[in-house]
Amino acid sequence: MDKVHSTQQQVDQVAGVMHNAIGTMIDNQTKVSELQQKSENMKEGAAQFKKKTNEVKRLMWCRNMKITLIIALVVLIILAIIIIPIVLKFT
Amino acid sequence: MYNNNQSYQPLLQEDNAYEYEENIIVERNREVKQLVDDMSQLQDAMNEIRQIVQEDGEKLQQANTNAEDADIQVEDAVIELEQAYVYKSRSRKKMLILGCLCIVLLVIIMVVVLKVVHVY
Repeated sequence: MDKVHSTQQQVDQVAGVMHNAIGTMIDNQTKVSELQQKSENMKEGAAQFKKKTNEVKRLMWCRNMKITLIIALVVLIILAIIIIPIVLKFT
Repeated sequence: MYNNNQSYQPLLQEDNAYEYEENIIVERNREVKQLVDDMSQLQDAMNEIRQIVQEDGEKLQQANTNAEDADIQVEDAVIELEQAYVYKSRSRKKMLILGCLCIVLLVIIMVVVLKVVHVY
């Protein structure tokens, strides 16, 4: 009878532990759902960020190219102004 | 059946004893059945818990994949930003060069104009 009693006590203990564990599990479930949702949002945000940075990179590249072309044009004009009179003089 | 009164009394006692034992057995049987029911309920609950935990595991896996994806995207974005910075600083330098060239151009044009005015 003593053995039965101690077993009953153990069962009660286990029941208490399981009760706590189930409570924690339910908490964890909501937290995990939240975490998953947040990670999805983060992923979307990162994709958006990457898109924006790509746009910025392209914009900067275009600007650089434009300035390079303008410099080339100005250099050509200067060279033309210098060379054309010389050529005219010798002909 | 039992006509003899002397033997009837002990038999009744025996009967009572039998009934008592049978009651115990019935009680025990009922308890065991109850225990089996409880056990099966417990098994159902455990199965449910297992399912929920598995779902949680899948969700965590998904969250992990999402985080890794976000990490990769952000790293790519950082590389692109660095390239954009390089282009920006190059174009700033070129702006300065362009300004100098414009001044040179203006000076040359003024010189030419002055020469032309001087000639005529």
